[in-house]
Amino acid sequence: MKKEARPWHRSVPFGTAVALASLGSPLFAQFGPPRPPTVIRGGTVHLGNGDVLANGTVILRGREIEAVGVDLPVPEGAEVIEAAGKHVYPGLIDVESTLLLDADTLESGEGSVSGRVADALDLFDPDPFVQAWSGGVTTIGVASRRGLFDGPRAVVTMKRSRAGDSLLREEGDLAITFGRNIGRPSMRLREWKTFSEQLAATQKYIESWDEYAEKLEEYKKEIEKSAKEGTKLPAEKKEEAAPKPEAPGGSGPGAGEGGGRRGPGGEGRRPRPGRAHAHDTPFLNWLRDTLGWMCDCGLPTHEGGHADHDLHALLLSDGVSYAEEPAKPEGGDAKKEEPKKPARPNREESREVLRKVLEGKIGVNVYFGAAADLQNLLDLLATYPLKVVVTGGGESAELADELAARQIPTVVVQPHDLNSATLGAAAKLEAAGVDVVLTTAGATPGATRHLSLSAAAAIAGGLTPEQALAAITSRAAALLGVGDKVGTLKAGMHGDVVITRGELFSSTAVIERVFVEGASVLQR
Amino acid sequence: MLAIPLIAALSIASGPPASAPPRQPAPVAIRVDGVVQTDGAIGPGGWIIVRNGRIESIGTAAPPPGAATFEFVGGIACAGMVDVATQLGAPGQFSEPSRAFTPDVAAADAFEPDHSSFLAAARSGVTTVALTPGSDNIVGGRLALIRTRDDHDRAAQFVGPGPLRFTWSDAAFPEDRLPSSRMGAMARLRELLANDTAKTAGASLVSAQTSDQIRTALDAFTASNRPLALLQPFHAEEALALLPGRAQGVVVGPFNLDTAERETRLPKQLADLAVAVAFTANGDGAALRLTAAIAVRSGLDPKSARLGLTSVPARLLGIDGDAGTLEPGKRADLVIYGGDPLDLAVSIQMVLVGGGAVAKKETP
Repeated sequence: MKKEARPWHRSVPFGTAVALASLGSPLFAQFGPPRPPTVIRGGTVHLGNGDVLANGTVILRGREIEAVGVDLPVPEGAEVIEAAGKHVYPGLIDVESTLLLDADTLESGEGSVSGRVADALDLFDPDPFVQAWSGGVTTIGVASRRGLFDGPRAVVTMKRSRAGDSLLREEGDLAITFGRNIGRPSMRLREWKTFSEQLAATQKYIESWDEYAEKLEEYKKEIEKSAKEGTKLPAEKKEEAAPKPEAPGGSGPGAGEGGGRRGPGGEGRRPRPGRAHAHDTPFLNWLRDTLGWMCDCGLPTHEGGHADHDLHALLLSDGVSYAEEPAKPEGGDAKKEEPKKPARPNREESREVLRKVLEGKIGVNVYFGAAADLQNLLDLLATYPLKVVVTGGGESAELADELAARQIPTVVVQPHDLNSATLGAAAKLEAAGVDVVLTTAGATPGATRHLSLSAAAAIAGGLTPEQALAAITSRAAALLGVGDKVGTLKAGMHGDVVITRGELFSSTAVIERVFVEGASVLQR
Repeated sequence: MLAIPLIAALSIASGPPASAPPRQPAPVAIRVDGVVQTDGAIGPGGWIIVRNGRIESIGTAAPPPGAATFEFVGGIACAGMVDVATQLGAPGQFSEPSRAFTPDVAAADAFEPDHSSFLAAARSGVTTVALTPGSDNIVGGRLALIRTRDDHDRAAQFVGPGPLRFTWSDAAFPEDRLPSSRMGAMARLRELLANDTAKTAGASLVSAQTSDQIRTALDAFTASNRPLALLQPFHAEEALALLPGRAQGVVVGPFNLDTAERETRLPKQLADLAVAVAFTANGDGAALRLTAAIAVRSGLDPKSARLGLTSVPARLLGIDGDAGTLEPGKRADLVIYGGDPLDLAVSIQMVLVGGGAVAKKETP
């Protein structure tokens, strides 16, 4: 450690540095000017995972935490914040917040499953950011709960960024909500009926696509087979065949082989109606080749989901049926031998989302209003093994053992009046072995700023302070699927740090500093 | 482990059943590590000696022989909470919308001493409440001052007629009742204030929300030399500057996590103007503490917040000679918390109303 490399800004003459900075301005405009590292020294450092370092040091460099430990050397040029007598925490995480959400922009009622919350965020209004920071909150899960089904939640870093990079996750868990009457009649029987019907219908949807894929495969094989045999076919019927469409002969094969270049024969050379002939298998081959390289997925199981997929599939099926159609009146006998193209099912966005749910690609976050709903859900999991997170009030404690046995992550909503009757729930779940996550899930966005107060109430209910901290930091991050980025003070994580005078859970604590991705956003 | 203070049988102390803790014939000595002082700060602890329902000494004397002793490591003693605007025991019985002026109505008439809500209030640390007529009348009648527990294990009214309740906001001006204008109301009000000879301690409780309402209310009450406290003046930023020296205090609450910041900031704004703030939450101690905690998180200094739970409301009700602070000679209405009363992570360890224990957390 003796020979430390001199930082560039010391070794480069000042004028050069300025010149460099102005040259690189587009880059800096996006990421902000380079900051010297920040060293937070001498505080009681709560890592968020239960560990506490007395007299610890946290070093922030760039957007990340460079190091966390005791007696760390101060990098040259660093800004040092003396935190002796203070507490240092990871930025807090409210897993269910309505900050940034203009509720009116969201669809209400059932079936808005395909509406992504990420599309409804307002990242321009500064007020939600200030509110979050004033409560030490640096990451929020934004969920909408307006209907039985709501779209995937977004996970947002509370930084004001024009770069559009504040979304940690655009497509988080799907929000499912039972027994919460918001602008719709809510009835357990009806809700569960709808829910299981939707899952069953999606199951059918998946099956219909699977069946289609299977048939399409068969069909393709048969086409290939008949293409081989068919080389004779046009020859036999040459005398009665309409003139060949010119396109296939010309650019077709070239485009097929060329791959990666849109062949000139693409759309423009499509044969005019009346001139095409169905049994012109070279045309079919050309069509498949041409469109095939454009989108060789051709199947609904395609995962990338690029935008042109549907178009290509449509062109292909259109072209094929076009080629087939005129043959009907002309060659009745031969037609019977022709393989029939299977009907392509409709692609439905909401089904596609639920399909991901059934396939375990995205999880569901189920809010329940009563223990009975939770019991229904647990029963339903026997039929549909969903990746599930449950969110609710104190009722979850009644099924604590079952939740623990199934290792279902459980979010406990702290009631807005912190009514003591439900505050023991978190401790009860914890005692049963459930890793509890706490949230304000406020009816109003502002509740998020009281996240630490609401967790304090759970401490009165029996949680230890470090459990309560984990419930709004590391565990919350894991639940949102961003545990590798935020929620713990650890080298390599985002530089989201809160410094308080007084312990976080004390009402009299003052949140003095907040850093988001290494940048200071609050100081008082 | 529960946040709810468990009613205890106090059997540790003297052996009587929970349902009837009688006045301790022997003095009670409680050892705490901190005491909320009259200025709202937390001072050093020691032994608090309670005898005949009153505080005998704080931190200056050892437990007398024969005293029932309790020790709370980390415990902080504070005066019992006081709530100036509740409708405990008889919700709905405090509204009489037939007439605009009902100065003859007394909330005491709707008082149910055996109602369970008083015990619940006591267990949550609230030792005194005022029953308050509703907001249907311009003059709504008199408050009733209630101790949440007495020697006979029920709630009890403890002084004569309480202060008057006024409503100056729109709720008291329905279209189908006279007077329909504030001008007409003012004329009647002046007449009434001039003729009201009942001498009551404490400040009249006045609901006024907008700046305009507050201005006229202040005028009427200052003219007749009557102290007033404003209830929930949330839409009156411009009128706040009128309050110092003219209003005895302002009563706000309850706050919860969803309360708008514009409202939760009000206590701090008032404290900056040196206007005393009292919190109200319908006699629910947990809700009162949450209200105070949110006010603190919104900028109010902790000392003012602790006083807003105790001595300020006691002063507004005119009972500050006997309640609201821990001082030798005052009634032994006291609550032992596991730490700072403002901290929500802290739970109540013990509650005494008039020297009798109504709640004690189970010792592990």
